[in-house]
Amino acid sequence: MTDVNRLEDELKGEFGTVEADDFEATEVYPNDDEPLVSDEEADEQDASPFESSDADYDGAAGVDFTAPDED
Amino acid sequence: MPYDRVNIQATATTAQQAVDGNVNGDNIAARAATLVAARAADAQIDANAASMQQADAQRSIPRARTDNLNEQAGRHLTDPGTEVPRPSIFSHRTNRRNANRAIARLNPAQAAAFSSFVSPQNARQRSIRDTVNQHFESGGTLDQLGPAGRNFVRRLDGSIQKAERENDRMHTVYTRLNVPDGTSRREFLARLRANPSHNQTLAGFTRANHDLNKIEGNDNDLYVQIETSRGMYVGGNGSSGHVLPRNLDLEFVNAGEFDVDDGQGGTTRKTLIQMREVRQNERTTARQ
Repeated sequence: MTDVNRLEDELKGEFGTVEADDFEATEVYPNDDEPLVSDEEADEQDASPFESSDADYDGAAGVDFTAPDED
Repeated sequence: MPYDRVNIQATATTAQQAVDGNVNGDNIAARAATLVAARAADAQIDANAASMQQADAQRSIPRARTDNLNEQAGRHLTDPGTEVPRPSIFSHRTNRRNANRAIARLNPAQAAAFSSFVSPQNARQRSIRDTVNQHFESGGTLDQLGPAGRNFVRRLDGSIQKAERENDRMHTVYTRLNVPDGTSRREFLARLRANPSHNQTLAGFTRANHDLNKIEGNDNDLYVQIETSRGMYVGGNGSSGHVLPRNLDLEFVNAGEFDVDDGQGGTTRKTLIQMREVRQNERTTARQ
């Protein structure tokens, strides 16, 4: 199985069936002239929904710096 | 390869080697040719499309959406001889506010895709992230993915574009460098300095950080300082991550040692490769 086919299977397993092209459902520029949240609302949320901590940012998944250090 | 580090192909010692490709087994010329062809095709799509949305449904490389940028605001590359600062509370709050505005615009499909990519919760999500990045880093294009892959990547692209639309300032972000196998740090730096015009492209999505101290590594590692308006800030509650878009073009500016504010009243000495985003001359607003 190629990587592309495996990716298709994994994505369908993770997110369900994908229509041939659902780009319309992921439109890039909906109503982007008007802010959807006020400054106050945007200021209130200090936590990122996409990152709980810098612990996710790891260098521990394997050391890729394989070059000998000559300095 | 982990997406929190970058490859920079400084292995070509001459322009001819870069053209010939296959330096250290890495076909630089073929990947560059693919990128040039993709940009040319995107330009054609832009010229013929009735709307930006229609064009973006067909483009293979996402355009920058930094229409609201003030280039004087925010952080820039550190001047040689000066100290690399830590991100300020002000910059965090501003970046967080802009990111919150962007997140309010994400549709559920985009939010789910972006969240799984940035903070994978299981092995399958990590595998998806790594496969997507490997695909682009090995010279693959959007067209070569299946329908689910293309939609997933477009959701990531769209999420980042919404963040860029809300962003109004420059960022200076950091990541760690993968030195090519068999190349010493000294060799690598020498070759990079010998090819100052050798621009680089970060083919996959790259996880960077606004705080150099948050990047794992030691003082002998090489780090990249990137000045850019692109990407999405994902920091919060004391973290300061930043996700850069795929196919981000960078130009080499400088490489050298810098004192870095360690956040504890002292400094550490680190070697930085300084690079700056290359702006593409693209249509960024709707045609009237």
